[in-house]
Amino acid sequence: MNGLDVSDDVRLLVHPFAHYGAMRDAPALDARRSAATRALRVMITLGLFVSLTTTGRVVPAHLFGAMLSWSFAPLVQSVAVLAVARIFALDSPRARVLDLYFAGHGPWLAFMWLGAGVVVLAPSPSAVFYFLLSNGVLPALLLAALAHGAVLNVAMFRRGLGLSRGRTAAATAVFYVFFAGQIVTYYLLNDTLQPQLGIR
Amino acid sequence: MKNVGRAILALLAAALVGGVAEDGGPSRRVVTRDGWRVIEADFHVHTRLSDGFLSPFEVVLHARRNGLDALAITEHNVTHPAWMARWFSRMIGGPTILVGEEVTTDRFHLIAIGLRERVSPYGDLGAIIDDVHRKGGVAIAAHPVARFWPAFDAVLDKLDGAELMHPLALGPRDRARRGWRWEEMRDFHLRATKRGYPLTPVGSSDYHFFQGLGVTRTLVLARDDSAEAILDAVRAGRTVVRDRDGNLHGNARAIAILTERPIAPAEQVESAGDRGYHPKGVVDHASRIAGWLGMLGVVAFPLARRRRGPPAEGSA
Repeated sequence: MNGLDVSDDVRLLVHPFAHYGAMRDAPALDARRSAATRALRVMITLGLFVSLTTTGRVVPAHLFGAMLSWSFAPLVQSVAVLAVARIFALDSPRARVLDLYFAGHGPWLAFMWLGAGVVVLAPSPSAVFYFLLSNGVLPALLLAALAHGAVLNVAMFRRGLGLSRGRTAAATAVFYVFFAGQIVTYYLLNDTLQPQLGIR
Repeated sequence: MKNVGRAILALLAAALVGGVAEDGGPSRRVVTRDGWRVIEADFHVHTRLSDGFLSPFEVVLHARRNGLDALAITEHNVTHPAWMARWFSRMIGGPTILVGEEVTTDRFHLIAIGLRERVSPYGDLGAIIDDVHRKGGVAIAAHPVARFWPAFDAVLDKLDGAELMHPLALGPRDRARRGWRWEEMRDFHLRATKRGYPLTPVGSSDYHFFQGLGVTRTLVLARDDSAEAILDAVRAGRTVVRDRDGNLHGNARAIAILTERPIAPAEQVESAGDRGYHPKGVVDHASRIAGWLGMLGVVAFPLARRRRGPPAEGSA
């Protein structure tokens, strides 16, 4: 990896703990700008994914529309990770925490890139998706992205922010509770979940 | 690194130019038969405000791309995304948006379209359907597979319609999950008709993401393309649905009208969701690949020049 200046997302994908350690040792000079750039990378990738999988093309309405309508995702993530930073009294500034957090989206970015590749390259994308779905490949990839994302969060808290093992485990758990909690709250407020759970 | 950045920008710019140039669906045709306007409609559509990928605005644009004259935005237990889509659609000149809701519970899913206001998902199905009617809507059994039959069988006299065609029909036939088989939807409709309840057949895409909005759709014989006229037609049973085997379902008169002078619904079942994915030519294909490679560039390379501070004190 040393010969090629690849993104931190890719480096973290391959060496989560080692690279978070390196990022801690040599922090970005302007953490706010760096965090914003990383969040923008996630949004652009999401926009491209939605546009390519919807139309097979990069269309402004979907590229920018998806960046807007999916902007809740980095917002919800930011709220969760900043809440964790507050609870665990991390001495790192908020921008630094966000900078580290948004560097660790590699699994999802890779997943989206592969999905868009099916649409762009396969002669019959729906047949490929049906095949991947019915043979468990797609669910397995999703699970892998989820699991690798969790590993990255652990690596960030442990090596990037220097928490002890116990506090890393607790911080990771609290992060997911806050993250999922916000999503679940939205659906509860909309009466979406209760009737499906049999609540009359 | 500057060159890599320029290459990524060039790829994305080429993809955008190609995307704009090649994007666009069939122009909306006005098709009439026997004095009726033939409307191509999708009555079951989700957006990003529940579990779909696209915003209500993007869904409207995608419906135009896919040649739909009308669609109902039917989010799980809420209607505000439908109002948003309707506002936007009116601003850009269509398609016709019906305000809808998928009343979603553990016992049944019910499509309510043409609503004036939201319907509560609590209570028994009969009371919910009464509420749909009070609020100006039409009640359609959503993907009535076997697990939902007990709830729907009890209210056949109240239902206005049932989904008879759905993307479930397009999956591999031998691998369909038990309890989620398209044949069960077809059987429900046939059984209701035999019992004396000829439910209006509806074909919907249950759209959540990717290309297939309207991949299974309903042909409606309406006075015009207004929401009121479409709802009247659904209430009167003036719809026709083509199933995956090419059979037409609907009332005999509507089928006769559409059989006498067939229309080619903008590729219905045959496309199986791949319609918009097929490049129109070499330039189109190249711009798609450029977009995908540009996406790789965004993922794999730093977007801004990395400026690191000095190693932290005490680090190796």
